[in-house]
Amino acid sequence: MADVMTPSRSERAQLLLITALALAVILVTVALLLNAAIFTENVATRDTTADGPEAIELRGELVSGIGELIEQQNRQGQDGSDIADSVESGIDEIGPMVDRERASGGTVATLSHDPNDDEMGHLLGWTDESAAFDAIDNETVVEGLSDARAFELNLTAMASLSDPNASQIENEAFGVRFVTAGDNVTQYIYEDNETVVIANATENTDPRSRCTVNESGPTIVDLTGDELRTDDEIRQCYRGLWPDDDPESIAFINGADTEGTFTLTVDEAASANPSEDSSLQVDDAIYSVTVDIGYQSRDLTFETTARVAPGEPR
Amino acid sequence: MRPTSSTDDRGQAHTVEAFIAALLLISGLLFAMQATAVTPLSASTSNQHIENQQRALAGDLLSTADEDGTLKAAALYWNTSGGGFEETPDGETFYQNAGSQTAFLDSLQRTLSERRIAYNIVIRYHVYNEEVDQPEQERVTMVRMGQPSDNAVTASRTITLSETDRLTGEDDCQLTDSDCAASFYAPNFDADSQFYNRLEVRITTWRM
Repeated sequence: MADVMTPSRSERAQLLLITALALAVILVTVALLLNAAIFTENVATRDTTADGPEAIELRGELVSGIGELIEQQNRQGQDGSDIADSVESGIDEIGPMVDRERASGGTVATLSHDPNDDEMGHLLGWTDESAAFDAIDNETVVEGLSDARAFELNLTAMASLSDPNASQIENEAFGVRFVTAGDNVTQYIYEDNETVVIANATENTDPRSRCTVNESGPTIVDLTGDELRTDDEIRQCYRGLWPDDDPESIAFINGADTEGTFTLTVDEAASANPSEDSSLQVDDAIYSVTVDIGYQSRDLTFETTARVAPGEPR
Repeated sequence: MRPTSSTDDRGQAHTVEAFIAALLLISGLLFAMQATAVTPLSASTSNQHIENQQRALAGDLLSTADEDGTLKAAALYWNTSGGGFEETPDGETFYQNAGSQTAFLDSLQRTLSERRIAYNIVIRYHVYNEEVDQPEQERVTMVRMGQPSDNAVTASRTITLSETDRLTGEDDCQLTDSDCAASFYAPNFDADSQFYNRLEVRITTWRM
């Protein structure tokens, strides 16, 4: 009879082999379980509001699209009611489209618009780019202002000053003056050694250079967007071009040497001041529309009311 | 005569056993590590991160292109006579080797292709199906690099076209001009306003 208490050498080797195999299987199982646990945890703890960014993106996309629709419609030179009807027609078409687009992704998106919430306004445009701005020199371009947006000058010629002092800038550089409840703010725009300079002055301070861009063809001065643009460069001016206090009126000064075009959208109560012989054109426009945007997915219900007024100062 | 299984022999055997056991343990460990190796293409936490990164990258590229206008310019880079995108090979309406045809494709080339990420681009637009008297969506392919893998991700961005938008290719006509309107893939959806159509640009990306 075999001695079970003192196993032979071959039995000992078998035991070792089996133990080693069992250990290998255990390690593999542990590794697989660990990996499965990590993956399960990852899946389980993924952002439950993953649709949040999509809802915000939808809002931004609709505000952008409707803003473009408003701007395009305002440029058609129609009267106010026709513009409002056209914008309403456009938004009515966009609504079901958004719903169809999102339905394919398993979400519901809605867009609704009440025309009664539309704010009418005026689109001011200086269209003759060869006419100097002195036709409204030292005159108020618009007054009684509550809201203004999308104020953009496209300058093809301006006063050239070489390293000017404060009085030279004030007397010779073209200026856009914002009359506010506080200090009046003037943005002087001139060319200095192939650089377009914007210098900021208030009633109590001398002009100080605020933003510059290398001259290259026409210069676009986006006063509400705080930006200077040329064909080659875009320069952000970071809240430097629009006054902190809301302007009550806007005037141009020293416009004799400055040529180009500009557009500005103002609220309905504002009074533009086109003189008989100036190139300033005043058309009806929509200042803003308000839309309700909804987004609903399995995990998220998002509703918001957005006021669309493209180019409104930050 | 010495006994056959002395105490010295037993010690040697234990040492050898210990070595063998250690070898087996290490082999098992190595096997276990190989068995659970996480590759970029395996379904794992790591792969999920890569998918998230790719989705974020594609989404950011679309957002940037939308902001600077190059996305719309690429969607309008259409050849009216050829009935396809400009600079596509003869007989094709889409790009297979997308690169520097437009600023948008150039940015995709520099950002995705150089990281060995392939992509397809499809544009979905709205049409009115007269037969069933229902609006619906159709699609046109801009770029097709191949069949996406199982780990492909998508990102999309919707842009709005106006009637005053112009094609950006050689034709340079306004969308509502008869020549443009007859050939351009997306129809004018609202004649009563400046609104033209909405285009959903969808990128599908996957690792090559």
